[in-house]
Amino acid sequence: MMVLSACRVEPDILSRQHILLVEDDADLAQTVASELQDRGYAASHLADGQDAIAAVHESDYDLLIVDRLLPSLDGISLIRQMRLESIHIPVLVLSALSAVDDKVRGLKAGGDDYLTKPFALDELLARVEALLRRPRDARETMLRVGELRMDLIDRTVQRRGRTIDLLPREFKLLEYLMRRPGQVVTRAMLFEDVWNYRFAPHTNLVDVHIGKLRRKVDSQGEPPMIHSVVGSGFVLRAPG
Amino acid sequence: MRLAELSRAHAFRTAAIVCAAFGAVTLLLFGFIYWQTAWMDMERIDRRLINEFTILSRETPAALQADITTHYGADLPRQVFAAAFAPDGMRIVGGLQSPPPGLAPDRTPHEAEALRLDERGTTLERVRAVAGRLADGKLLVVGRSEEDLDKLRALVVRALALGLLPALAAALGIGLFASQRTIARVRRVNQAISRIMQGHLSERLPSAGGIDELDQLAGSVNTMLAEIERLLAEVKGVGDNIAHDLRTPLARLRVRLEHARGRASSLTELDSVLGRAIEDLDQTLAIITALLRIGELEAGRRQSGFGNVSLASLLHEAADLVAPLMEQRGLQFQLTLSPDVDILGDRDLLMEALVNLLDNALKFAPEHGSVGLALLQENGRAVIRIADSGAGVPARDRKAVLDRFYRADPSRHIQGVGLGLSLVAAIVRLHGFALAMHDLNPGFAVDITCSSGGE
Repeated sequence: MMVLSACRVEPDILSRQHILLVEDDADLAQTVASELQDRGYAASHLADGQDAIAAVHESDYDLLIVDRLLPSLDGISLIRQMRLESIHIPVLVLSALSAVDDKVRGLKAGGDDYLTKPFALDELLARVEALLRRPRDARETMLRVGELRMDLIDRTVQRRGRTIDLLPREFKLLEYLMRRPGQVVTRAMLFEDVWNYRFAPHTNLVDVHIGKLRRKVDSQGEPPMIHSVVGSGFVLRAPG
Repeated sequence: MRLAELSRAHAFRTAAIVCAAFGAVTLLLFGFIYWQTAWMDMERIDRRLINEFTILSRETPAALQADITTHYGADLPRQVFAAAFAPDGMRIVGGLQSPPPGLAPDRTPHEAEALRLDERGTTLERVRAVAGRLADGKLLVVGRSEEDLDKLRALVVRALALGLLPALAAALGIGLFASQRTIARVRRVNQAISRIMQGHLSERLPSAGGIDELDQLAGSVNTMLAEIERLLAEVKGVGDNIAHDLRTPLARLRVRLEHARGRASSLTELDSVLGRAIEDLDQTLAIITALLRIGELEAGRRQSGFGNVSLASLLHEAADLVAPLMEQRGLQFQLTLSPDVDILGDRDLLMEALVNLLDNALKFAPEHGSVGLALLQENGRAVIRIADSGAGVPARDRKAVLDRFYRADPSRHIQGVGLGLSLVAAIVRLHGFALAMHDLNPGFAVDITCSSGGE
């Protein structure tokens, strides 16, 4: 077993979420692991699928980041085997294969999300965060973030008593953000989850939609709730 | 080389076979002529012998004797003869010493050996003769020397032999000439092929300008070579364009990083340089990703995501997606729908194509212009039309814009990696749909003609 970046021994080690990175590109793995540690996660790295299976049996991980192509046991087989053994750790699949079919295969095998190489670190971190944080209970009928309220039955949105009229797509977009308050969501995540398309538009399509939504949610004089995060995406945060 | 040897062997074998066949036919023909000559002559002689025998046999003994003496004794060339013998075989009159042994007295012509008798003495000759007993028991023999017949036969045989040899030689010569010519042509073709294999793709196979099989083959191969040459040139052009389009942002990136290393005086400054460097890298990566996707689509491996797609709802979603963008640019945007059609396709890819085309329309439409997205019915087929009020792509560039890395504007002031349309073309091809561009006067439109799901 090769552990390139062992977890730092810190008192809060037990409280930190532990991520296992299974990636045979040592350079990339080290950079990603170090980035994850900087963000407060404990990160281990293995280069091989067989070792990863053993490691998953030995200790509890909160998330696996698995490369699609690995030396002895490839990523898809690794996930399939884990799922067969009823190990339900969330898995983010990484792949240099851009084929959409491949993406579908990765998700079908039991992967929870899929990221194509080359990826932006911010994109990876946003997805890691999304996988680690459980979205709000889908059965909730009322979402609240600060002074913003969304009634999922009446399909109405109010901010401090002011009713906000939203088009169906805008409603869906805001619902997605409200279920992930304080969490950075990327353009690609929005495009995949709100619009259900798996290609990356070259244009600033998502920005324009967010812009429209922002003008409705944050009207003049109100402290802004929808923020842009440079290089990553957007975040909905309660003011103050 | 091996091909040349084979063809040479083949050409020679063909020549030899033709020559042998020609010789055999000639021999048969000559045999027939010989047989006809010899047999016809024999028959004529036999008829004459029987005729003369009949005349002589009807004469009185005295007249017979006189006739044999006068007629046959006076035959100077000694060709014909007649003789009469007593029943005991003693010669009475005529040019034979004794009855030819073995000659049956059956009044029909036979071959025999006869002892001819004349002033100079006796000679043994091969003859054709008729013998028969007369009423008084005498044996009458009428015959003819076969010497001249043999001479005639020998003459025919010699003539035939003399004729056959030059004929065979001529056949062989012609065969060799023809095969040599073929071999020479094949050799020239082979030389051309080896030059092509050495990389001289503009080389063509030589053609004799005729319409024979070899010329037809050379013609087909030349057409194929022209197509290969065109494709290779295209690939090379694409490669050059890719290299160029990748080099531009990379060169910028390099200069930027080098400059920052020397000059950056604060972390903020360095951070902004790095931010722009990452943007440059993203641009290069986007180009590579798009190229890989086009390659994947063009290989036609992506039909697994196919399902029933409602065109009306697809267009609705596309309109929903781009409408805010149009609004932001101050463009009029209109969605027009005719009755809905279900088609078999990949929803993701079709949306990607539509977004690309709408994005293009948005870029090409003039300020305060308009963009339209419409579902039409033309000749029973569903047509998706993306129209804008701009000048569009000039007619001469329409095919080229579908190629990888082409942008209508040489100054390239319009943003985009230039792969959008070729990606669209690849998606349309994957679906078996047709892509067309035309002028609307005023305006420009791109049509995707779909085959309906039922087909």
